[in-house]
Amino acid sequence: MAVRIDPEFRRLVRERLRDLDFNQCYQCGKCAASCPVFHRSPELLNPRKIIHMAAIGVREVLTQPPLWRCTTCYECVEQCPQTVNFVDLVVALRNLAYEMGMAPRGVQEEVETVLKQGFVYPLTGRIRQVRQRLGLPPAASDLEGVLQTLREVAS
Amino acid sequence: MSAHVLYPGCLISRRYPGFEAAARFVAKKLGMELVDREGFTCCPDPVWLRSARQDLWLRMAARNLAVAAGQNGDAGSLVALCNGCFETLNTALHLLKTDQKQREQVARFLESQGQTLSTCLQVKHLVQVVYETLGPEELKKHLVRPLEGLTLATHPGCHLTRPSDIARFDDPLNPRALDELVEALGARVLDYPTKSQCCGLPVFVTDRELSLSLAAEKIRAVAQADGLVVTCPSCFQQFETVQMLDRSLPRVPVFYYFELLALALGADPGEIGLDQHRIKADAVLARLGHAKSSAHGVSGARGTKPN
Ligand code: SF4
Ligand code: SF4
Repeated sequence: MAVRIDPEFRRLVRERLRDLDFNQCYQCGKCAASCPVFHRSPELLNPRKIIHMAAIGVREVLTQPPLWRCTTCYECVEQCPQTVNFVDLVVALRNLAYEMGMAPRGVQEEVETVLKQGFVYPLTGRIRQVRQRLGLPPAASDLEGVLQTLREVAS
Repeated sequence: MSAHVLYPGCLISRRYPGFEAAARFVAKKLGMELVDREGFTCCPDPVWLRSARQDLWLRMAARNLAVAAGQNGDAGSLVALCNGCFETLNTALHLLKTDQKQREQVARFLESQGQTLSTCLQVKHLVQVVYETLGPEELKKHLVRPLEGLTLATHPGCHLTRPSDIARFDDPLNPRALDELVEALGARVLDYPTKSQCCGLPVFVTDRELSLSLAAEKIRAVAQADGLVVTCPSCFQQFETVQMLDRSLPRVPVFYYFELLALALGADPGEIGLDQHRIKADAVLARLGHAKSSAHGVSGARGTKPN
């Protein structure tokens, strides 16, 4: 894969991710060695490579599948000798991709669902019935006010 | 024991209400008061909502913390039943305490909602509460129906113990607490090398094949066990889904820890919704001397949609 460095993207990453300590990374690869996804196949996800791409300014880091394959399991974070928080970096890069309209469809749908109903999962008639049978309090409450404000923040 | 505010979470309250019933049953039997609050939203989802809009994620989480703290801001702890809720609420609390800029933005948002930012409560997972306030030895004294003769494998799940600086519970790379809590019930625990590895559920949205292969690997690793014990409804969902979709896998019923604890404390399977499992637990229940649970069942779709 040809690597294209994009100075503008590099500036953007530096600006937006400046609170993260990924510049401390010395590319030892211990994160990859502890990653369950890397263990399935190095092609799927290599956290060390993602850090490198972000640091030198390769824009494709946002759109290529590996960024979206990190499960946020934190195995790598626990083992990094430089205390780089790779999950924070993944979250920041994904937020950037989302803002640019580059997040996978399923991710966009989840945000829409949460802003619509306040929850990821709907409260179905069947579940209301099961809750009642189990003697549980009703799970619904009126959230329209706060959801309205959150939608304004989101747009 | 002191009062705890219960955060039921959306996956449990809206898809696995039996887990909530089991948790409430356990709290009652152990003399732990769980206080309900009105008006929680989704925690929200620590993976995808945070990955898309960290600003919205933090506002919603902070609002849930404010709801938990209540009018007088006097709540001692907020108790989550799910690893994901535990992670979101705890990570948000950490950010609100350490990042002044974000704290100010969030405080303004809460004021617009007539609420006050509250960072004085603690966030705990119910597993952590039971482990820290009772502990395995004390727990044994409460059992009326130990789970003798069973061999169970545990899957503590990533976010019960990681990131360790925020979860502050158990060993993040070699977790033991859940094993001890299962052993306390009278069961034998099956050790396996990938115990602390992820179930794969988070990436179901973005790479289904990878997600299911991570879960399948774990199911194969615990094939010898009578059941797989989890502390998180997302892991539960993932381990049932992979067995529904891949018929070549060994069948390993999945249990939420508090279902088993409730049984050992004398609950009837129907009373905690054990009939709602997609991978039927009847054989295990029969060995524990319980009649077939489906007599209490509610017919209809069982939520086969994996996510
Ligand atoms: S383990 Fe840490 S220092 Fe080593 S490559 Fe990974 S992030 Fe960089
Ligand atoms: S957090 Fe992501 S990169 Fe790190 S070990 Fe887990 S899956 Fe791999």
